[in-house]
Amino acid sequence: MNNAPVTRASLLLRIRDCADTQAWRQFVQLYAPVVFAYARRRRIQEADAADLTQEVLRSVANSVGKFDYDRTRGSFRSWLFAVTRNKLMDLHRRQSFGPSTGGNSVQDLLNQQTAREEVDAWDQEFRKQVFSTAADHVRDEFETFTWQAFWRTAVDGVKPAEVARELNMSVGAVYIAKSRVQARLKEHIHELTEDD
Amino acid sequence: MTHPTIDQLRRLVAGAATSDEQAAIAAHVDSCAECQAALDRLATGPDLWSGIAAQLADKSPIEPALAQAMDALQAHPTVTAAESNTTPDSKLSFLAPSDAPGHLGKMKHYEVLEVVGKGGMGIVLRALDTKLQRICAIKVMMPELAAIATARQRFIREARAAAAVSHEHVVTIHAVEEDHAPPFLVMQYVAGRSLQQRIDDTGALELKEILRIGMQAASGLAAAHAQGLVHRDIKPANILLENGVERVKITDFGLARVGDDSRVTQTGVVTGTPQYMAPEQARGEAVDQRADLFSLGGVLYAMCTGYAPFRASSSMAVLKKVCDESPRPISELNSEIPDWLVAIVNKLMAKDVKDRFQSASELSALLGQHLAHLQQPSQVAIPARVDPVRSPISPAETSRKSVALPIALMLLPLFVVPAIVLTSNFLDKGIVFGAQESVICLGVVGVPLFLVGLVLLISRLTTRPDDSANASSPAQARIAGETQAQQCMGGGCNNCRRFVRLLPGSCDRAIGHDSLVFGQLGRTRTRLSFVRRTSNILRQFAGAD
Repeated sequence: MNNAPVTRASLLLRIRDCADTQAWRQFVQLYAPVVFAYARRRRIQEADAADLTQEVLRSVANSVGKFDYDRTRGSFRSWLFAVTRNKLMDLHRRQSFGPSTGGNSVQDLLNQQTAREEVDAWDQEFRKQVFSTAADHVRDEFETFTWQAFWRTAVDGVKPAEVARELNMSVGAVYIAKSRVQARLKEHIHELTEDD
Repeated sequence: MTHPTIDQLRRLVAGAATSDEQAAIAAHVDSCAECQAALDRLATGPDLWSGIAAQLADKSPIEPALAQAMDALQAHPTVTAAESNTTPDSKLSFLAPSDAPGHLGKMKHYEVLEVVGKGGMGIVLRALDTKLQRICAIKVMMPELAAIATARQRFIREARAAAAVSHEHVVTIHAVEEDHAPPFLVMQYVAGRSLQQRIDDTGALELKEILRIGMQAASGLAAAHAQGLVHRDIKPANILLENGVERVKITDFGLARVGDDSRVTQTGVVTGTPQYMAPEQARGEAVDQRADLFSLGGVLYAMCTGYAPFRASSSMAVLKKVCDESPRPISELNSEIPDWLVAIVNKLMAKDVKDRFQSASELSALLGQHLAHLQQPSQVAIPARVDPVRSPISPAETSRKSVALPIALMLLPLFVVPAIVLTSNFLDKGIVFGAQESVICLGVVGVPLFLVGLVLLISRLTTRPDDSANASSPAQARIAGETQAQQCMGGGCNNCRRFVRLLPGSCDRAIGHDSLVFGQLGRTRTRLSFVRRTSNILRQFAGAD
């Protein structure tokens, strides 16, 4: 699969084109886990969370080409959050039996939860997914040993001298590998989060 | 070597340095802490990086459900849940375009050739398995149902269980494709018609055919029962007859349950009529394999008479009959059916599970013996007759019984008073009854008894037979009793409970969805009015099953 990174703005443009399956795949790859993780944290069982994820992403895909999503009104991230929250409430309405004024329904818990906490959790998940997607994309641009040198030092936190021994590289080469991958990652993360 | 310039380092980090340049700088950076720190700064800056590193290190494996959802999304970008629910044209929208002309489309490696049927749970397709190059039948879960996680899980679970059964009289399940949206199961394709079509075409069957089909169906059931499976929806439409030999193939094991929980939340309507359902199943109680035997009894009845045993204008009325009444005697509809077969059908259709045959293999063997005797009367002895089952009370008998007691009370004084008089006089002890004493005695004892009897008789006669039947049937009494109390009803969410007051006699439990509430009796649901008392939360909902 070609993982050539595209910026998210162009991703949003490109998914309007039904024939552009690559853009759609990347879109799913980037956002499905965010929605899923959010639902799971709201104690939605796995199968329902998966359903919700599909529903949210399909509805987003449908709306992106229409007027529902207006970039001037806010970031895509917060719009996706709003859509997810609404669908989650729909889900509870559908699943709960009887009118949902019952004091301790999940929906009410949702409502009571402080908005700040919610948004923070969402943002955190969003960032995490952007980072890991960026890492997936960028990995292919580097030699395996360059990537390993980066990962062992920058992510695993192993000392460069030790990594150099592990990988049979010079310490200088490890430093350079690490900095090159980091710089590229940072750049790509920026591309993915341009308008947040 | 001297320190590289900041520009050189920048170009290096950006990947723009030549390999010679890079090698030279690497040799320097090897031992220069200052340049090592400079590279870090240029790359990201330590503060920003620590946040990223923590997230990258935390990467958890993708949960299977998410992976499936992503696959489904990536495979079908254009099908939305809303579309597949509403547009009738998009009933087959889950099919990918086919390469072969004239085919409807394809799913995975199955080329779909035609739609062969629609059931309550989904549609049935005839397809070509391109890998194995064989024709198969595919049952696709209805998208509305597939959208419900519990229904989907149940579909997969039941299909897997059924796939474990391998028997010549059970339709073989080749595969359960759960990682497809919607999920589907791949079965042996049986060319032929169902027993329902056969009965519709020709009416009642010949005795030998009844025995052969009954025997084969029973042996197929026995194989499934041996695996611990209950079919739950044995009816002529689920008994397929293979072209030519009309070999029996039972289909749709366990799938009757798939739509049970969920359909009401979709449409509020339960499709199909429960004409072959066992009474315990109709009451929503736990069922075992003996429920299938009741249903098979119904199938035998239909083969004998050409009609389903319990027929009425609505599902509700059918269920009432299933629970309370005996079907019209087979002999009235087809006098050619021998008594011993009538006895077998009656035993199968006993209201009390304990009165039925206890296993399908027992039934299969018995029918087989009868068939052998029919074919070779001189060599095979006719099996022993089945003991007649005590007949369930029919409504007519109920009302006759209920009138008998008051009449007896009314007539009692006519016998009792002269008896007392005669006995006393004969024994010549104590008081001697003269004419006057007799009249007093008749007045004291007889008149009250007569009045009590009269009142009872009038009350019995003014009550409709239906109600008296209800009162005398344990099932109905149980339901009526429950409806006096408030019923709890639960939903898919974890901790909400609502209360409704059920309409008397209508149902044995309540199911609700927003402002709609349905009372349920077995699988039949009727809409109810309900009392909103949302503040009453009794206890946690105990799961969807």
